[in-house]
Amino acid sequence: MGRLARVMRIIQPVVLVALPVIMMLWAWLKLADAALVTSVCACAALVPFFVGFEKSRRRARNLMPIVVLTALAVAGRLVFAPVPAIKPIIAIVVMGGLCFGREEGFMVGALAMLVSNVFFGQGPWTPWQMFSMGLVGYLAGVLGNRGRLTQRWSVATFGALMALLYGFILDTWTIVGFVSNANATSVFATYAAGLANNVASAIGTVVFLIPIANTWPRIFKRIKVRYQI
Amino acid sequence: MSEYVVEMRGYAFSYGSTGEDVLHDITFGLENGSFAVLCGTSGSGKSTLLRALKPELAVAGTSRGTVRVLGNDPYHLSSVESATRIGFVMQDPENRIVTDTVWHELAFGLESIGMDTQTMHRRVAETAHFFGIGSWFDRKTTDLSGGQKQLLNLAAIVVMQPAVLVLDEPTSQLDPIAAKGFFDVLERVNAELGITVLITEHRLEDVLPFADRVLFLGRDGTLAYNGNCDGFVRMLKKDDDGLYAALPAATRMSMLLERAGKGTGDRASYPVTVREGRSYLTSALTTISAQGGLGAEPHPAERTLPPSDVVLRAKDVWFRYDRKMPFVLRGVDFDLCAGRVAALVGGNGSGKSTLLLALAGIRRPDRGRIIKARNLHVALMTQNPKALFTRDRLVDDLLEWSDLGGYSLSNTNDMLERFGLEQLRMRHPYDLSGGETQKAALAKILLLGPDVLLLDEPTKGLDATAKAQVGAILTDLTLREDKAVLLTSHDLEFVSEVAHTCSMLFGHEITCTQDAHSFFLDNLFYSTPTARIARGILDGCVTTADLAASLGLG
Amino acid sequence: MAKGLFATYHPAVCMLFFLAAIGFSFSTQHPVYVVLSCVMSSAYLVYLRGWRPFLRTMGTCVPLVVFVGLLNSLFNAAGATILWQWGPFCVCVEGLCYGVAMGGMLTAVLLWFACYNEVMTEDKFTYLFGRRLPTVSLMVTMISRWTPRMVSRGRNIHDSQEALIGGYDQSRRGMLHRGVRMATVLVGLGMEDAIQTADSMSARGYGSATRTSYARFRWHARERVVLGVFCALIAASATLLATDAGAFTFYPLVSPVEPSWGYATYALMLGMPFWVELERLRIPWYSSSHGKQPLTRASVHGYE
Ligand SMILES: Nc1ncnc2c1ncn2[C@@H]1O[C@H](COP(=O)(O)OP(=O)(O)OP(=O)(O)O)[C@@H](O)[C@H]1O
Ligand SMILES: Nc1ncnc2c1ncn2[C@@H]1O[C@H](COP(=O)(O)OP(=O)(O)OP(=O)(O)O)[C@@H](O)[C@H]1O
Ligand SMILES: [Mg+2]
Ligand SMILES: [Mg+2]
Repeated sequence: MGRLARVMRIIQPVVLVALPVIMMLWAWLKLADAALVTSVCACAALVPFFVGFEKSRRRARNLMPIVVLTALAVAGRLVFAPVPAIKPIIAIVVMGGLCFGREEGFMVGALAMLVSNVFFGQGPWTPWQMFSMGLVGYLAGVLGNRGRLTQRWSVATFGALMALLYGFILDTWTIVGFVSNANATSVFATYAAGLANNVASAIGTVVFLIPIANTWPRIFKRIKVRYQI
Repeated sequence: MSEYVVEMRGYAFSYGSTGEDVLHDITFGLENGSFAVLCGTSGSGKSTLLRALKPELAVAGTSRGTVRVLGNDPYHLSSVESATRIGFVMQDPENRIVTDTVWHELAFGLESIGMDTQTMHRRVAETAHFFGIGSWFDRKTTDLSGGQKQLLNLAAIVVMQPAVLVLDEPTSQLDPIAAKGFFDVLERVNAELGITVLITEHRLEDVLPFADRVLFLGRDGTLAYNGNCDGFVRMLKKDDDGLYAALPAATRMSMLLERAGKGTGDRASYPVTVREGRSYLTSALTTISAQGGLGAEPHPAERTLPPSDVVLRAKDVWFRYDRKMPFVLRGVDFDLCAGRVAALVGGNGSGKSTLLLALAGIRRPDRGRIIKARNLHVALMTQNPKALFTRDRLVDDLLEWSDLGGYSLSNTNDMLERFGLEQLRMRHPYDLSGGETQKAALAKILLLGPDVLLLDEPTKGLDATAKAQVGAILTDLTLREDKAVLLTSHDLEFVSEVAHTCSMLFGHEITCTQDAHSFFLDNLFYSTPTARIARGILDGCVTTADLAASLGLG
Repeated sequence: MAKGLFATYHPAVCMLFFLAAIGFSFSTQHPVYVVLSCVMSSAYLVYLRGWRPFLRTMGTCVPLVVFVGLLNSLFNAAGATILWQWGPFCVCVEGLCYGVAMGGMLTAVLLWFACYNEVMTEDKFTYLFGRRLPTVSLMVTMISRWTPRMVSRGRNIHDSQEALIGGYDQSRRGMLHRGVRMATVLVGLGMEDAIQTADSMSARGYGSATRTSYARFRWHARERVVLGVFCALIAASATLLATDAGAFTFYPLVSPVEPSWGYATYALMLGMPFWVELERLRIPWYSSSHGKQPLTRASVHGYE
């Protein structure tokens, strides 16, 4: 692994914290051009992850789990497109992070949003969705590395929390980017409008996670041993 | 540097997980520009041997002995050298395609080794031209037919200009015509570009005419034969190791005549192609009539079957996968009778699998009906048998539906034994060789004991012995237990031996349904090689057994 | 292939245009600039896709635009001209104006993204990022190959188990169980297949050297000219827009709209997809790089 990749790996957690902070600060100080600046920041926040991943020069066999899980997540989003809010995507990203590590988790989340938006429409939300979904995978990877989250229910709870976190970040971005002079009422109104969606998404994630939380790690473990991933 | 392009000395290999040696003491060398065929029964270790030539493909395991490719140990080659010297074409074309467009797939290898754009364009253009890919250069890889996919795989390897080309059952999923096309291109690659070819195949019919070298892996994993075709046939004559049935029809015919003492002695080598077979047969018949005619009276086999009930009927079935897509089936009528093995043949993408899905009730026809006798259990084995397995051990997997199908562990063990899989019962289903997977899937279905069996390409990847075994099981099921079987296959010889009736799917409809014998007699191209050899010389022969019968040698 | 000459331009030019269009649209709520951006993006989208798809796209934008517009106008007490107040709700003229401008801005951005989706096809995107991020862009390519495969694989697995045991157990629970089983087989098999693909990649030298790209896009002289003009327009618009936007405020009172050269340069900048079509007139010096060839990208492989 190159030096650049190591540097990026150190920067990554910093960025994960810094981006939301910058976003909040911008809103707090009521600075101008919030929509543009926050979008640019979100794009910039993706850089250390993508560059770090790129420079880590993984073998082809180590790339494939990411490709498969991402494709599965995109396919899931497509298949469940007619159903509002309930999507398997967070469940898959969480499993990816848990079983393959934080960078892999981030890539699954970020790429899943990037590619699926080819079908659902790219928009100013794309970098934010990539970032937040990547964050979900990253956090799952952090806990997975520590050997936490082995129980079915703890995984499901974690998934539900992540679904709420994902919704929270995107709602916050709506406020910061598109509401001028945000006050308690408009903030509240935005979160309230997103609440039903986020709760449904959390429930959906739990429903998807429960049956796979035990079986998928077993499958992945065999693959890892057999093919030396 | 040695004179050999590929060389193995005392090579042995064992898989890490099982510990037993799969390959023992393999020693051979291939000269530059040779075309070698590696054959052997299923599970004898062909794929394992080929993989040893390409470190990137090796599975965890321990090996002994030396391997040399172009005089170097493949494990010491840099990956660029490895990529440009040894090309590997594998079984499942679908999984080997990396990118989403044809042009990108062709360029992929060259991009990976960092070739400059100028040279890359020239190479890709040249190769596309050589393979006749120009007209579908911009297509999506998902839209290609099976034959095109495998051709693309080959082209994407040849574009790297390797010195050695290794192929592992490249045509097992292709229809007979596409397979022929593939071998023709392969022959051109060997003859015109001088690339050394090493290939494994279960059906030797199409590949043996091109081969100047045969390697035969015995069941125990040793190299039982290494030499030219003729010697191989001569050796098989002495020691019939289940491979006899895999030989080309012309060769089998000549062996048959020779055994009966009626061969034409003036020949230096055995006939391999249909043309050689025809001239052999003609001169053999002349000799026979000169000697005073056939020894015994010819006794053509009895072919009338008692009439039986229709259990599954497709009536004017129209089907398409999507409103925006053209119809795959248009007005298909089909009857499946109890106590019969029916076969469905047709090219890649003609809609065989689709018809089976419709018959099994999985896809509803857009127009027309599927009529099923009541309380009949229909089971379909789809084309990819791996999709059936979920458990970590074969035996657990076969037991998965024991409560649904009402069978027990002892039934399962019997079934494993019937298919010769008892040693593999603790193996993970995905770790089986190609042929073993197919047999395991069939075992799983037979355990459920359905009344109607729809089998989508049950013989792909099976060796001749296993094929005969499957054929016997199917015949047994239909004749003894009065079950109905419908199978699709690209192996016309198998169909001619096993099926009672045969239908051809072409142009979105069933063009004809006949009893298998007359079906192959009436066809000219889509027929067995024996029928093509005997046509006009000794009428009414479709299989080697027919031939034996009409020559009075049975 | 999207309609028009602009879509045949080098991906870097197209990308720069969309970055500029989206960036500028995002950065100002000055009403004239917002209207200009809306008009230009609508015109281009209609040109690319026709009226009906345009209206459909507008339809999908409506909820978000209305939501943001309402948020901005309903809870905003910063304006001087208060129309109506009740508890937390406070509606003022300035807030309403701001809400409309914000909605317009969002509409413009969404429309530009819709145009982007038409023009920046995946191969252009991967081409652009392929040099800097070869692995990631290769992965994007593979994902788009694997996504439809996953869907049809899922169907296959579903079919093959329904075909065997579907008849035995039709209960809800049985179906749920089979759904879970399908998901399990799908990942297991998908991983197994993926390893084969990975092997096929390494067998063809993946990871052995720095990847190059089978570039299918070339720079033409006319693209350099167009790029130069466009950069000049960006610079001009940026300066003029900064001045105009700085002079304009919504609160406490909406300032009057002054005439400015900025509107013209901005419209010209956003109108690039249209004015590149002038090439069809074959201004002699302009199309000289093309000689007598017809003005399509037939010269570039694969885009006949
Ligand atoms: N990953 C593995 N772990 C353990 N054993 C294996 C593995 N892969 C294959 N085997 C075993 O090694 C033997 C040789 O397998 P191989 O795939 O080389 O056979 P093959 O000659 O190619 O058969 P087929 O004609 O069916 O493809 C078989 O008995 C098989 O069960
Ligand atoms: N799930 C699907 N969705 C859309 N189109 C499909 C699907 N499956 C098959 N097709 C199309 O339907 C046609 C018939 O396919 P089918 O698989 O039935 O052919 P086949 O005769 O079984 O071919 P093969 O010998 O290669 O197995 C093909 O053109 C194929 O591209
Ligand atoms: Mg094999
Ligand atoms: Mg088929």
